[in-house]
Amino acid sequence: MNARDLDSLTIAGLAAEISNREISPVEVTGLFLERIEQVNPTLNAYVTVTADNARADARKAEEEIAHGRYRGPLHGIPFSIKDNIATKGVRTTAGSKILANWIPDFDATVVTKLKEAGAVILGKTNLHEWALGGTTINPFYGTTHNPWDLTRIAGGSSGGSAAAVAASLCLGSVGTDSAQSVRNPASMCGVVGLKATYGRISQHGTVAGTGAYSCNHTGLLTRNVEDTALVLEALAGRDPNDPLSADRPVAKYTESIGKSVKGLRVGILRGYFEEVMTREVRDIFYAAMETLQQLGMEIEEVTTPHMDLIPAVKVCTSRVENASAHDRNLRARSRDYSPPTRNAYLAALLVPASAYIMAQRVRRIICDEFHELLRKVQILALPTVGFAVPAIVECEQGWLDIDGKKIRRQDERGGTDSLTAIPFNVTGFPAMSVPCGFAKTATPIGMQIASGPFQEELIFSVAHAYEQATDWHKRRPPIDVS
Amino acid sequence: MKDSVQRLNAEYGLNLSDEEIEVIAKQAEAGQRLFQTLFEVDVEGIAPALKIDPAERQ
Repeated sequence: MNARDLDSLTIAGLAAEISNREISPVEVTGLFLERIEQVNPTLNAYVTVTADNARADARKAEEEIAHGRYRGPLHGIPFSIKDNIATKGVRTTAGSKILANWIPDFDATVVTKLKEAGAVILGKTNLHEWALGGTTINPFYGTTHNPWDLTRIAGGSSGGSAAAVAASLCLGSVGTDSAQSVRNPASMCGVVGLKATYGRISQHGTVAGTGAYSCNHTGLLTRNVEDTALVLEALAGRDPNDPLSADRPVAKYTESIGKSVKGLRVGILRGYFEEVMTREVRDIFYAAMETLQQLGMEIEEVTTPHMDLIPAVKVCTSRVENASAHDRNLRARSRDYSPPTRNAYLAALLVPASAYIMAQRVRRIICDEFHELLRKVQILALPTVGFAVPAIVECEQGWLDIDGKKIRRQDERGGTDSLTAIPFNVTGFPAMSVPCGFAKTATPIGMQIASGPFQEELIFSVAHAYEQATDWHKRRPPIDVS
Repeated sequence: MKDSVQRLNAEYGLNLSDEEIEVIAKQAEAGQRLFQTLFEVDVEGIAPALKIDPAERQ
């Protein structure tokens, strides 16, 4: 095996070879670390590479497997972790200056579970400052570049994770998603990103203030749908350390792969986000819907009466919950935030409690309406982001071009790139972004496949069927490692 | 809103410049306009959706 072979690896494929002892975890880990050394200075996907730990974990995995103690499909598989998820003994910055030197003395539950499954952790990935934004243009740790086009953003806030998976700098990554933060960069980098149902994966160890308590989710990024199913099986479940985690049995998600999707009803979600959707994205998305139809699914357009209020509910909820986590730092270290981030938190401190409670009341109406939708359709679909991957310079200037119309990248409703994703943060419904085409800029476009609470199995069946009917997930960015 | 930011500035010891106060006040005002739409909804009999509800976790 050589560095070029890494592009074709998947977790499921590599797991089979590792369990058969055809490939050594030590060899694989060495190749990934070599590639990180070559490519990361250009992409800036990792902020910390834990090469020594990774080599030690790989040696341990190899020894265990040699002695017949194979732990399962993540044993010896190289992973990365978003840098707002606590890792014992390894710096965890949350993309902030304030935590620049924080070395946790504990692992987040998802990290513990990954380690128990025998995964090899290669390092920590870059993110937007405090995960508050969708570009991963980070004033303290630099910008993560999109592997498909280095002049463009990788999305965010888990931009480093998505870029690392896309560029073969790991095979899976764990991120967080409070507004879009796993699905958006997955879409922009051409990989699969899952935000499971609220509470499905423990959030214990996610840095407070990197996502609103009631909207945030631990999420997964991999190269294909089957790999995501494998990782979710390992990481999902009730956690006594996370009072908001769900006490529900964990399904065997890989068994959903390959199940018939004929006759399933898919609702194309219509709403406010269409004003920031380009014709190009719409056309690519509707072509994907035709593929679903060819696979035997029934397609119709759906919406809800209070759809337009989702941004107000989301922004009000997120601002207030996030600001509460930052109160102490705002008092003591306000100059250690970038001005836009500090200003957003300070403005949030002025939101009246009555607005927050009203947002939660309207949120219940919205959730009820989404449950009602599920009486008509089993799957919801819409583009992950309304426009093609923007250039870094456009984001720095703060403007986007939507079919010739100049719009602000960020307004009072939050990032325009998040508008398509937030319905599933407000409702907590599971949603997955899968690659569904390429823009004329040769950068990936993704679509979301969502369903009702704890209906991840349906999502896996539909997403996998779509993936098998297309080849978008097999394409790799043009990175020169010669 | 500027007054509220100034009070926050004093209480939190932020040492914000006039320009910064202006920016934050404008941002807070824009948020308030957005949140005003929530108060136009008929929420009679609707309890807040709180994630600490056991029902939300089932």
